[in-house]
Amino acid sequence: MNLHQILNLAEKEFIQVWRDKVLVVFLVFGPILQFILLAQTASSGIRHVTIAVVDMDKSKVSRQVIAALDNTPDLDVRYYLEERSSLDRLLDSGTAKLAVLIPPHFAADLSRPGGASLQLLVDGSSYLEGSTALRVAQAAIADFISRGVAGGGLDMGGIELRTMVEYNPGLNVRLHTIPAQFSFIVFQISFLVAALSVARERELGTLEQLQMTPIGQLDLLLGKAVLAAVVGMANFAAVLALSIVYFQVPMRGSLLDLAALTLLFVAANIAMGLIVSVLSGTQQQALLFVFLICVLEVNVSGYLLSVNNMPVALQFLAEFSPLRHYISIVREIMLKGATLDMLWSHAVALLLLAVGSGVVVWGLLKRRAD
Amino acid sequence: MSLTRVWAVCLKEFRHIRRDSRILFLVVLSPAIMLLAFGYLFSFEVKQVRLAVLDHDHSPLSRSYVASLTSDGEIAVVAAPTGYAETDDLLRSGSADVALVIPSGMEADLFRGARVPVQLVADGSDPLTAAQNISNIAERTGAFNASLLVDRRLLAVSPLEVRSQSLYNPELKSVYSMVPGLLAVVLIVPALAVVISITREKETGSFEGLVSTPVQGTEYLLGKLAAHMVYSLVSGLVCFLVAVLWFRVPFVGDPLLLFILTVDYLVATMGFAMVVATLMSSQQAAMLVVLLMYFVPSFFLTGLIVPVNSESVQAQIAADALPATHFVAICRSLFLKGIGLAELLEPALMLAAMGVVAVAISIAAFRKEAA
Repeated sequence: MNLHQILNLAEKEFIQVWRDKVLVVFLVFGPILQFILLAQTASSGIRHVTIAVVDMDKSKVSRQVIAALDNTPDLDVRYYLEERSSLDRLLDSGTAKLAVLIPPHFAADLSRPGGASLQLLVDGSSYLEGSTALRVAQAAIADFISRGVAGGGLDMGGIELRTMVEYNPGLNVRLHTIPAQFSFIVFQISFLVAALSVARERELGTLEQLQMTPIGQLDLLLGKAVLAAVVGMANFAAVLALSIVYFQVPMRGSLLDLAALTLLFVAANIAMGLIVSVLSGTQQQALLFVFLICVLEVNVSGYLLSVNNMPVALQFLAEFSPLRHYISIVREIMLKGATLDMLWSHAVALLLLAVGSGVVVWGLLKRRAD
Repeated sequence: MSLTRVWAVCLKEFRHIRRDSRILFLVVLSPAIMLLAFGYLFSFEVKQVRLAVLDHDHSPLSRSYVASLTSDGEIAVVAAPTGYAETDDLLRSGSADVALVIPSGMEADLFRGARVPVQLVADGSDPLTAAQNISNIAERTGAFNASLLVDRRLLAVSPLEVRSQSLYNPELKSVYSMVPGLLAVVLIVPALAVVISITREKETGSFEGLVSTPVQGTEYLLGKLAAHMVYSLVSGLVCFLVAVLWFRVPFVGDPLLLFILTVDYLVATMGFAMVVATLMSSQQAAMLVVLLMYFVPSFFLTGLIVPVNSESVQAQIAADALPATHFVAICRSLFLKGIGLAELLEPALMLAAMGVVAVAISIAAFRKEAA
C-alpha cells in the first residue's frame, strides 16, 4: 500500500469529476434537492380521511354519530348524501375512502329490543388508508355507544383509555420517515459513485492504462474509494444539518457517534459499490445493477415497513443490508438518544459488511487482472 | 421524417438490447423480480399486536377485560410486568408494542358506574403501526364497555350492530392493494433504460457515427422509443402475470384498457427519460437525475404507500407532476374496481399530455444538438 499513489489517484478522480460541471451540480445539489422534496412533502400520517355519510334517519342520534366520527382527527366527514345511489360514484372515483350508511328509523330502533344497525363501507383498494379509517371509525362508534345512547344520554361509566405514546408523542410519521430518507440519500450517493468508478474506466478503456501504472490493485481501489467517501460524507453533513435545522427532527444522541457510524456505513456502501463496478463491463450495466440493488435494499431496510413486521426470511436477508442497520442507527440516535453501547450490534454488522465486501472486491480485481 | 429510418433505428436498438444479456435481464425480468420482492414484503397481514398488561386490580373483571381484547388472537398478551420500570423496559426493548396499566379498584369503580381511566402506552417508533394498535384497542374497549352495560342489565341487548364491508377488496388484503400500485413503480426501470441507452451513445462516441447518417433527431428518438416500448411491454406483461398468477390479485377490469393505459404511462415515463437524456452528456449524470428526481419520489410521493399529503401544496404538485401517481390510481382501479375509461379519463389524459409534451421537448432539444 502506498499512500502517495492513493492520493494521486484520488486527485485525478477529483479533477475528472470537477471538469464535468453538470455532474458536480448533481452530486452535490441533487441529493440535497431530493431530500428537501421528499422531506417537505412527506405525509405526517393518515390524517383527514374523507368520509361520505348517507343519513337516511336524520335524527338527533344519527347526527351525533356523524359528529363523533367527524371529531376524530383522522376522519373528515365531507359528503352528506340523501341516498345510497350517489355514493357509488364517490367511492369508485376514490374521492371518499369510507362511507357510513345510517338506515331509516335508526334512532327509534336503538331503543327497541332488536337494536339498530349501521353499515360502514371502506375502499379496500387503498389498503393503509382504508384499513386505518375503518378501525378509527369502529373505535369512535364503539366509544359513542358505550357513552351515552344506552342510558338515554346518561353516562353509565366504563373504561376510559388514556393513551400515551413514547418516543413520538404526536405519532408524526415524518419523524419516522425523515431519518430513513436521510439514510437513503447517503446510501445511494456513496454506492452510486463507487459503482460507476471502475466500470467507467473499463468502458472508456482507461482501466488498462491505469493497470499499467505502478499503482497496486488495492491502492487503485482505495484511490477510487476516496472520492465516493468524500461525496458521501459531504452529503451526510448537508442532509443532517437540514433535518435538524429545517425539518426540526430532534437530535437526542451524540453527533460524534452518528458521524463515526456514518463513516462505517459509507465504507460498507463503497465496498459493495466497488463489487458492482468490478463485475460490470459497462456503466450501463453498473447503473442498472445499482438501481436493482437500491430497490432491494429499500425493500428490506425498514424504510417502508418496520423490520420487525417483515417475514422472517426477509428479516434474515435484511441483516446483509447496510441501509437496514444504518436506518436503525439514525432513528435510535436521533429520536431515542441511543448511545454506542446500545448500537454495537449494528456497528459490528456494518464493519463485517465493509470488510467482507472489501475482501471480495479485492479478490475479484486481482483475478481479473491476472 | 421517414418511417423507414425510424424502423431502422428501432431495429438496431432492438438487437442492441437483445445481444447484451445483462441489459436484457435488467430490462425485461428485473421489474418482475422487484415486484416479487415488494409484493412479498406487503403480502402478509397485520402482525399480532404484542400487549403487556400491568394489572393492579387482579379482579375477575380486569381479567375479562383483557380476555375481551385478546379473544380473536389479533392481540396477544406477551408479558405481565409487575411494575412501571419493567413495563417501560418491555416497550424500550421492543418486546411489547403496547402496554396497558389497569388501576386497582377498577372492578369496584366500574360497578359503581364510574369512568375508570386505564392507561395505554404505545411504542411510537413506528407511528403508523402504533396508530392502528391504538384504535384497535380503543374499539375493543368500547365494545367491552357496551357489554358491561348489558351484564349489569342496564341494557336489554347490545343496541347497535356495526356491519363493515370492504369494497373492491373484500378481505382487505394489503397485497391486493399494493401489487397493482407497485406495477407503476417497477415499470419505471425498463423505461429508464432509454436514458442510459441514449447517453451511452453520446459518451462512447457511437453517436458521432449516427450523426453522419441521414437519420434525423426525431427519427432517432422515435426509433429508440419504439424499441424500448416493445421490451417494456413484455416486461409489463411478465409483471402482470406475476401479479395475477403468483399474488392472485383479482383483475376485474378490461385488459385492453390496461394495455392502452400502460402504453400511455410508458410514453410519459420514457418522454421524461428522453428529456433528461438529451440534456445530459454523461450516463452518470443522467442516471443520477433519474434516480434522485424520478424513481425515488415515485415511491414516496404518489400515494402508493401513504396517501399524498393533503395539507401540503408542494406535495400535491409533486404528486400530480409524477406520472406514477396517475398510473398507481389507474392500476388499482382497473385491477380491483373494474371501472371504465370514463372514470379514468382524468389520469389517462394527464399521462397522455405529459407524454406528448415530454417527447416534443426532447425532440426540440435534440435537434439543436445534432445540428
